[in-house]
Amino acid sequence: MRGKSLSILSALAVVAFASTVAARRNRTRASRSGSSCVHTGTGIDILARTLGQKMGDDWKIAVPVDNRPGASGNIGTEAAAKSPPDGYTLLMTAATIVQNRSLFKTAPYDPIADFAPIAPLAIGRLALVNASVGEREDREGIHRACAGQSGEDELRVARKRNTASPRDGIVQDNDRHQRRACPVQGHRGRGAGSPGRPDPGDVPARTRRVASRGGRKLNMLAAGGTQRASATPNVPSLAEAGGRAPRSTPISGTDSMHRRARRRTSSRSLTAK
Amino acid sequence: MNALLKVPDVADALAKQGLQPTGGTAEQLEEMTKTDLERWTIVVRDAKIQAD
Repeated sequence: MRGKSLSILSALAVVAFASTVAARRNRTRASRSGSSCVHTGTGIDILARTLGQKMGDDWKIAVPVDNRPGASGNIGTEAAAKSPPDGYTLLMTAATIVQNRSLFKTAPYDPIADFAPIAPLAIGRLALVNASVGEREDREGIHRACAGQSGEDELRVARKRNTASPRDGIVQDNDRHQRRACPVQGHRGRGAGSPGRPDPGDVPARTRRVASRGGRKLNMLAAGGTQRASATPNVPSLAEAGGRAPRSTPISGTDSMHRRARRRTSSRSLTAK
Repeated sequence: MNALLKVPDVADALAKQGLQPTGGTAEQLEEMTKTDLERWTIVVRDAKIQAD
């Protein structure tokens, strides 16, 4: 039987779950033995280890971080859901905890019934990247990527390399633990920013270029959301980038892309508050 | 947890990963979870999204 566990949910909005009573109990008991922090992927690993270390310093105990990626976070989330609800186990995960309920019919947990909320933690930001446009970080590059042209090479790289959340198109550098996502047309990604989430306009995208396997470079074409990232002021936001095509693009091509963009952006589920 | 997010070196470490610390209450997270669950259920259904 699954019970509630103290959980720290992190998503593209990173969040934490647990009742106040549970949190107090956790702190008390932690002083006698130890707590563990389970999380579900590489990007969240950074957050879990950073906060876990600080919690350990604060409580004067060791807080081991148990990295359990795989199955889009289902493995780690299930482990946390099945942990005794004694305040010893925290979970850090992403928005996948709610998305997976629809994506996986057999998701082995209930994101509401099996977890007690603690607090939101942080918001991450997506970036549109491309591997083959070189120095041309311009609207034409964004257009080609969104049209599934030059972006496809990069997406194949992303899919091969991604181990945490393939459908998000998250690109991660195994050496530097960087993550980027590719909200590209035809790819089942979250897109630029999360519907209903505040836009973290001042979140610095880490770098303009992200190293990838085999020495290829991923070029940052646009910052997710409506505002530019402060760390990459020369890179437009996706909202700014708009949908302009190169002048020579055939009308049939622009019409097709127009219809696809309209269909995707006018979805009631995406535009609802 | 919210206090830790305000510690400068924590905020710096998260910022280097492109994360903006927000913090908040359990009630906010609970509401966010319910709202997101409803939203993504509709999005996945309408867009016919399938897991790879």
